[in-house]
Amino acid sequence: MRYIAAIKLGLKEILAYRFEVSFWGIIALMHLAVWYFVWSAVFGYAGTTVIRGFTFQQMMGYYIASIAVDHFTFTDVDQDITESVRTGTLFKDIIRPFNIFLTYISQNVGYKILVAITQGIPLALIAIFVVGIKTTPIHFVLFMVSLALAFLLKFSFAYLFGMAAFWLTKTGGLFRIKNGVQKFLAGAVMPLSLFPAGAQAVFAFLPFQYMTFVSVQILLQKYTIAESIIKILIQILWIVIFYAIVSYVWQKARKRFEVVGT
Amino acid sequence: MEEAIVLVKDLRKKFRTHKREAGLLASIKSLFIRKYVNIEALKGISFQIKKGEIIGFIGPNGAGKSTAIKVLSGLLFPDSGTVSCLGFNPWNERERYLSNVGVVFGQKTQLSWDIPPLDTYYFLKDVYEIPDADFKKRLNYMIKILEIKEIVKTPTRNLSLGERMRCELIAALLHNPTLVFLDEPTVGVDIIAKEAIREFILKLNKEQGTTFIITTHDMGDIEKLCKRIMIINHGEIVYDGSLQDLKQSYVKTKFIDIKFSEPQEFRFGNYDGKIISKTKIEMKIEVRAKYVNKIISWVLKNYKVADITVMNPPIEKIITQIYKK
Repeated sequence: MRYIAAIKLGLKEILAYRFEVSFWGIIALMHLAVWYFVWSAVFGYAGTTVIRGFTFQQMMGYYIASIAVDHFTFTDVDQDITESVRTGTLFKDIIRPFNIFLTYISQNVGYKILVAITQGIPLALIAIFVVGIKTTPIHFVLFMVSLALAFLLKFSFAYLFGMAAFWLTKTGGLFRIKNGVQKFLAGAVMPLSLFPAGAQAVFAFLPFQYMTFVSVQILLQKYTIAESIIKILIQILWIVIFYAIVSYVWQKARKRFEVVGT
Repeated sequence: MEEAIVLVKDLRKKFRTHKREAGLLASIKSLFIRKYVNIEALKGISFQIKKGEIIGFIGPNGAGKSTAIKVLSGLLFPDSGTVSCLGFNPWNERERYLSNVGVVFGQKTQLSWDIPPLDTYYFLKDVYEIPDADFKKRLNYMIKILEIKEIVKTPTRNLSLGERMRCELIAALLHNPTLVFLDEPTVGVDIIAKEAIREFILKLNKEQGTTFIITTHDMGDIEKLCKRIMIINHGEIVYDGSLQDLKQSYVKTKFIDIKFSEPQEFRFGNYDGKIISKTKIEMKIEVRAKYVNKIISWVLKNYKVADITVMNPPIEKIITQIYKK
């Protein structure tokens, strides 16, 4: 199967960077440490034990889960596309008889296998034994489904932005804006439930919270099982929408590709 | 006669780029005002290629030969014209077409950069669904001919150009394609590797009937490989035929090397000619091709000659003449 082969290729590629992967793990822990100190200060200053329905422990539970989701769903396919468009190496995928989008996803899944092992396990251990996150088996299963979907959604969104390279050639600035906005609106900076009700109502119509926040809420049992399933269906809907846009834009983008250099 | 597997009719392709002068001021100016220039890379070319041919596309830099190959391999969309390769339209039936096609761009790698070529080969095995036995047989065969047994186990980024190029060829040919595009497959490659690559192409052509379309600036490639060449210049095909015919129709002069057995003072006498180099006992002259025989007998009659050799002008010279037209 060609897409399973792409998963294997992705895994082989990522294993070539042994140290890179361990750095990611360290970054995940550093993020957690930063948020620990920030919220310690906030709780200390406020002098209360509950802020907007979060105890300090629940807040840490939110962060460890959101860091795990954020790291697991991370993709730099947008930069990969820019780079291969700019230098022309995209040709090597265009000349092969496969669907490029599916091949890239599969390769990224290959990377994720390693991320799951090197970061998922330590973060899960900290979450369970240090922070004391509690969940039910059914919520955990729903969380895993929603996590996989969050990855697909984030990937499709990044892929769409990556194709901007066909028009712009350089995309660094655009991606910074995208990453910043996405991270904030996905709830990877702070829980979206801390925002005013009006803002949250707007967020509900945007795709971003389905990239991190929703998965975290499912894990932390903030939704009932029925609510969780509805959220998962909305995730699927967004993926379908983005995949349709990606396919449409790809047709346009392909015609702009000029294999530079040769 | 074999049937034509590539049919190209009136193919046109334009590029739009913007140009600016060097310098900071020009850079700032180009933020606001951009002058776009249309470059016609292909001005309506037509040709046919039969199964089992090895075709050389030659032409000066920027003549449009790479563009032609990119259009045929489905990388670029033409502005107009029709292309049928192996019975497919390269853009609308992409996946089915590409299953039968191999491509090498000498300047760019198709191997995964951080891992050994062997890993890419195993990936391609699954992409093209090559049966285990075929894969092993072909891979071992190619590795043997190209002499890269250890090289395929080294990460691509650590390979030299010549090593990498041989690995690229395998990546393009593992699935035993019927049609292969090679864009400058010997650029920057040493003589030994070049020989290996040429032998390899000839072998596959002979044994599998693989059709090759090659662009190159190396006349050695052309002379060793291509029975038919197409010279592309300014986006048009200016010559399409055999190398032999090209020589015959364009070779107007020949070179004669003469070694005298004792020092001589040479004069042309009644014949036209040009002295290229000259010492007391050795000289090289260029004469009109149709007078070669007469000049030789005249020289032999009037001078004491130890050795005499007649040569065609190098193919590069012929091609240069055509390029300059």
